[in-house]
This record gives sequence, structure tokens and C-alpha cells, in this order.
Amino acid sequence: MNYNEIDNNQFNLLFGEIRYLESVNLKTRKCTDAQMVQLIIRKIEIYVKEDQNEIYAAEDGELYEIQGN
Amino acid sequence: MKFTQLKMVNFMRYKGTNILDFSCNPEKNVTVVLGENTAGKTTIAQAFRWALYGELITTQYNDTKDISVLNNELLGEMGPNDYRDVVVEIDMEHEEKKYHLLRKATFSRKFPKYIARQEYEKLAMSIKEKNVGSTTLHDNAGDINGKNKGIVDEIISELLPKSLSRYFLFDGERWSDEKNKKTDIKESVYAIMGISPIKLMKMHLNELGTYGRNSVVKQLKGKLTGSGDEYQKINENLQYYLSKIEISQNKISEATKNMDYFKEKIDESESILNANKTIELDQQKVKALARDKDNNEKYMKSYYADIITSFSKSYTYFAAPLLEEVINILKNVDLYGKDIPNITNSTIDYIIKNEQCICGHKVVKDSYEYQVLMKLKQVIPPMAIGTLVGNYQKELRGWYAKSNEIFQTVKEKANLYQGEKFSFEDNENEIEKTNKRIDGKINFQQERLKMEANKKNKKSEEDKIRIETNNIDDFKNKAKIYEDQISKYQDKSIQNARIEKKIVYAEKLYETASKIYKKSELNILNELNDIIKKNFEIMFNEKDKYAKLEDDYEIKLYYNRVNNMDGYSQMEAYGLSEGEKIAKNFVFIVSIMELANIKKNDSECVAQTLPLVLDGPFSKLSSVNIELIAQVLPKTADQVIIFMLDKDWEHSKLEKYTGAKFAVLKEKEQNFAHIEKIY
Repeated sequence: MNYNEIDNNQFNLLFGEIRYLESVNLKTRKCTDAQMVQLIIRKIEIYVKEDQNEIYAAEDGELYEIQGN
Repeated sequence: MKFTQLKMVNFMRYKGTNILDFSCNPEKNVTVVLGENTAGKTTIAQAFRWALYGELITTQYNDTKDISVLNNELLGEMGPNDYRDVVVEIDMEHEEKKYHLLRKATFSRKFPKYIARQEYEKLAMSIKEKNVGSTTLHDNAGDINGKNKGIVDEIISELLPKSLSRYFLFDGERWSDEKNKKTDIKESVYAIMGISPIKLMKMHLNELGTYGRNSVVKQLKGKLTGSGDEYQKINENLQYYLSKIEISQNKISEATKNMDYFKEKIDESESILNANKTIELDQQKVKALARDKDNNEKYMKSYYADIITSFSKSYTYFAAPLLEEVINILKNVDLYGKDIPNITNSTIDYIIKNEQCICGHKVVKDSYEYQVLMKLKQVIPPMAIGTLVGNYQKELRGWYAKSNEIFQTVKEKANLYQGEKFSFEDNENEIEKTNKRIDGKINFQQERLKMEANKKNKKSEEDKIRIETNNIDDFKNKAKIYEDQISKYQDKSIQNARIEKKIVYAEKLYETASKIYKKSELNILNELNDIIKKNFEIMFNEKDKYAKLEDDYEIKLYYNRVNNMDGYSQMEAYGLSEGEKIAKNFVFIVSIMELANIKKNDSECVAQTLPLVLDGPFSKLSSVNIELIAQVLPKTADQVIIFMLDKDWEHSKLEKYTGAKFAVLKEKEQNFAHIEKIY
């Protein structure tokens, strides 16, 4: 796979979400750098997963918590 | 962010309590403190710095090591067992919160010397939520459980970052300082930009850890699996170079630390050597003081001898009441007028023996003349004491007059002795202080050798950094080759394909974030440059030159382009005058504060508007420039606090922007200053 195969809309959404995540954590400082890396990986995983049935519920919960939802 | 009040208790020149209430009126946001040179204006800037960061500004007159925050007058009044407090309190307001900062230091005196010794220091802050009304107290020493140590320092560094203090707390000594380093400027620009989420995103995606090994991209790459001997071999090589990069980076950070240490030592030596001139002056001063001290001693001895001599005649003083009594008694004795002055019994005996008076008359025994002489014999010495008493009275009066004279002499000499003793002690203290200063700087040859050795050490650390930086580039290139190769030998599994997809996403995210970040940095620089250019033009009415912040964060002055064919357009202006150096720094400070003010509402930026505290900004400028600059200042920050000379006040034409005005007053006979509110 290369850059050209990436769906632009999907990519922009992902970029926006990670940026928002960073912005929230900058204010709350809830997560360490290592935790943020793991969260970003999980975010990416959600966007690239081929099997929509894969369960990321636990991780999503954590993400929502950090986003303040 | 605004300062509402500054309270100083026994701080440096200010004995007792002195309070400054700053103007927080948005229409009249300027607070002015007027005072003559050395009256105590800079002390107020020192109070801000001491309360916020626990340190003082080095001035051309004093090294911070020689400055004591305890008021000197108070120190002189202290006994050996006395303790005195120095307190600075700052009240601030920011985002619906009221902050009260208190720094207190307790001092004792190294009696009888005029040296203060700090015994204890306290830093505390209370924060009051305006709406809620609740107050939280913080002690920098931590709470009872030993937690939250340094919390007040943390709050201060968020509110008023020390990295920006060189701009918002700007002291007059540095207006023409060329030491406004590139790194400082870069740091300040970043502080104003804030740590943007994009910068953090970039770091988390591909830069965290050595060679980004803790980042998203590298973590994902680490999840790829492979098999076969070739894969193992390449992977081992890759890991080998990655570990080499880490070792080199550790070496660089070690060498950087050493280099900074040596640089600091070189700077120290340089400042010691540059102080050569002051040593000469100090040495001359010590000589003169020693001479004065010897003279004091000589005079003390002579006055002491005078007192002793006068005292040896003190019986007259103590006998004075008795003498007075005797004189009074003798006044009442009727012995006057019956004798003949200077005629004694021996004179009469001589006349009788020669039988002839000095007037020519014959003196025969039992004659009338003989009878008269015999009667006279009864009233002249030694038979009569009239003359003796008279002489005695004369003597007594002399003694009595002297008794008062002795008292006056002793009193006068004792005063002179005391005066000399004080001068002697003052001179002795000054000699000790100056000698101490000389001792710290003396031995230039040794200092020079030390500096040369440190220069060599610094160079060797720089070489190490260069070598290791080259090594890292080399290792990175090699690692990249193995990274590219390894993908060929990775398993063609579905799992790997998924991970690769994630890697592509992560890499594109990183690339996009980097582009945005670079653009935003460039935008900030461009924005700052526009402000700098505008301010330089307004503040210095300068048409020939313009100021520019370069991409490498260096501020330079350039000649303006006269026409398109003119080759001078890019010519940098060298050999700047004192005024131009001030202009360059002034414009940058004002511009960076203005940018922070503009950026305060920017969601990407955590910068906030800081109050601007300027000490003696106008002292080296012409009256025209003072007015031009002063008119820009109120618009630069939400709050401006300026300390300036009386003579500059009129030129500044700041009256219409001024909400609070104070004067620093110092009486000639007093050693301490006080602040008086004008309005």
C-alpha cells in the first residue's frame, strides 16, 4: 500500500481526531507520551481495520474518556 | 494577566513597608514610577524578580552575590541575637482567579560586621476563584505529607514563564546588551507559540525516543514479523545500528552537558578578566581607605592623650563647687586697703636698721616715725594676710574658670574621638568588603590559564559532538538501508499487510503534521517580522534601515532598498551605535510581547498576555524617540509598568495613558527610600 491508496476523507477524519486528542491531552495532561503513542496506534487501527467486526470497545472507551466524553 | 499590587517589607533600599498599587484600568493601563538615578527604581524590578524566581538581576554596580535583600539601615540596627524579615508580596489577576504570592526570608547579623545571613526562606501562594470565592493555599515546601514540593514554582512558571521574563521584566542595564542570544529568542518564540498539539502529534508519530524508536511509526514497524536466516541477519544489523545511534546520542548529550559547563566556566573567567579595570580601582580604593584608617587611628590616639592630660587636671573640675564656696567666704573678709602693696616686714626692719626712711626722714627709736613704722608692721606680710588672701582669691578664681574649661575640652575631645572611631570602623568594613571582591578576581595569570584549559576542553567536547553527529548520520543511513531491505524478507502474511497499512497511515500523518508545523512556525516568524518592521518604523521613525528576525532567529538591521537597481538592499548594517542597539532590542521586546498578545485567543497557542515591566527604558534615547516609543507601549500589553527618570516623564507624554503614578523618594540624610503615591 502507498499514500495514493489512502482514502482522503478517511485520512482527514483520522488526522482531525488525533489532533483533537493531542489538544485535549495538552490541557488535561492525563496521558503520558507512551500512552499517547498507544492511543494513536489504536486510533489508526480503528481507521484501517478491514474487518469492521473487530472489537476495540475497551480501547474506544479509554479514548472517549480522554476526549472528555 | 495583570499585577494588582506589590508590597515590599525591608527589601533592599526600602525600609519598612512600601506598597505599589498598579493600574488595571484598560483605558489607562500604564503605571509609572518616577525617581532620580540610584533612588531605588531598579530595586522594584529586583523585588519582582526575587519574589517570582528567588533571584536578582546583576547590575553594573553589583554582582548578585554581593547584594543582600535585607535593608542595610535595618541591618545596622540589629544586635547579635536579632532576626529581621524581608518580605515581598505580589498580587495578580488572571482568568477569574486572584493570586497572592509571598516570598519571605529571615535574616540574622554576623555581629559586629555589617553582613546579613539568611536563616530561612518561605514561598507561598494563595489562589482565590473570583466566582466561587474559595481559596487554595500552596506552600512551596510541600504539604504535611511531603507532597507537592515546588508547587508554587510550578504555578509561577505557568503564569509567568521564566524563559519570557527577560522580555516582560526588562531591566535598563540590558537595553543595549548584545547578549540577546539566538537560542533565547528561539525559545521565546516557541514559548509564545506554545506547545501546539501539532508539535506533540509530530513527536508522538515519529520522533519520540532515540531515532523515534518509541514513536507510533517505529512501534508499528517493530510489530512486523519475518523469518529465515536472511531476515534474522538483516534484523540483527538493523538493531545493531539502532543501538549505535542510541550510544552516540547519549555521548552527544553527555558532551553537550560538558560543553555547557566549560562554556559557563569560560564566561566566568572572561568576566573576571574583564573586571581588570575595576580591580585596579578597587586596589586604589583599598590603599586610600587604609591611609584614612591610619589617620583615624592617629587622631584617635591624639584625642585620647588630650583627654588623659585634661583629666589629670580634673581636680579643679571636681573641686569647683568647693572653690566657689571659698571664694564667696573670702569676699566677706575685710582685709583690704590696710597694707601697702609689695612692702613687707623685711622692708620695715631695713629702714629701722638704717635709721632713715626711703623718703629721707630720720627714723630714731621711739620717734613718731618709728611708732608709725611699728604699727605698719602689724598689717603687712608676714604679719598680715590681706595680700596673701588677695593673691589666693585670684588663684582660686583662675582654678574655677579652668574647671569649666576642662569639662568642655574633655567633652569636645571625646566627641572627636568617637567620630574618628566610627570612621575607623567604616573604613575597616569597606576595606574588608573591597578586599573580598579583589580576592575573588585576583591572579589573572592563573585565571587566564584556567580559561585556556577550559577553551581546550570545550573544543574537545565540540569535536566529540561533531564526530558523534556524523556517526549518527552514518548509522541512520545504514539503518535505513536495512529497514528497506528487511521489508523484502518480511512474511507475506495478512497480519503484516495490516500492520504495513497502519504504517503507511502513520507515515502520512507524520508528513502532514510536519508540513503544517513548519508552515505555522514560518507564519509566526513572518507575523513577528511584520510587527518588528512596523514597530521599528513607528518607534524610531527610521526610513533608512529596517529590523528583521532571520530564519535562524537572529535580529539584524538592514539598509532599506532605495531603488530596484540599488545593491544596498540586502546590506546588513554593522557597527551599530548605542542608540541603534537599544532600538533593535527595544523593538524586538515590544514586538514579541505584541505577538503574544495577538496570539492569546489562538486555540493552537497557549501563550497569554503578560504585563510589561520596563526599568529605565529611555535613559539613553533622545526626547523625540522617547515620545515615539512611549506612545506604542500602552498598546503592546494589557498592563505596562515603567520606571523612569523624572526628566523623561514629560518627553514620554504618557500622562493620558497613566492610571497610577508614584515617586521614589530618598532624603539626602537617609540611606533608605520610600514610595509616595501621586495618584
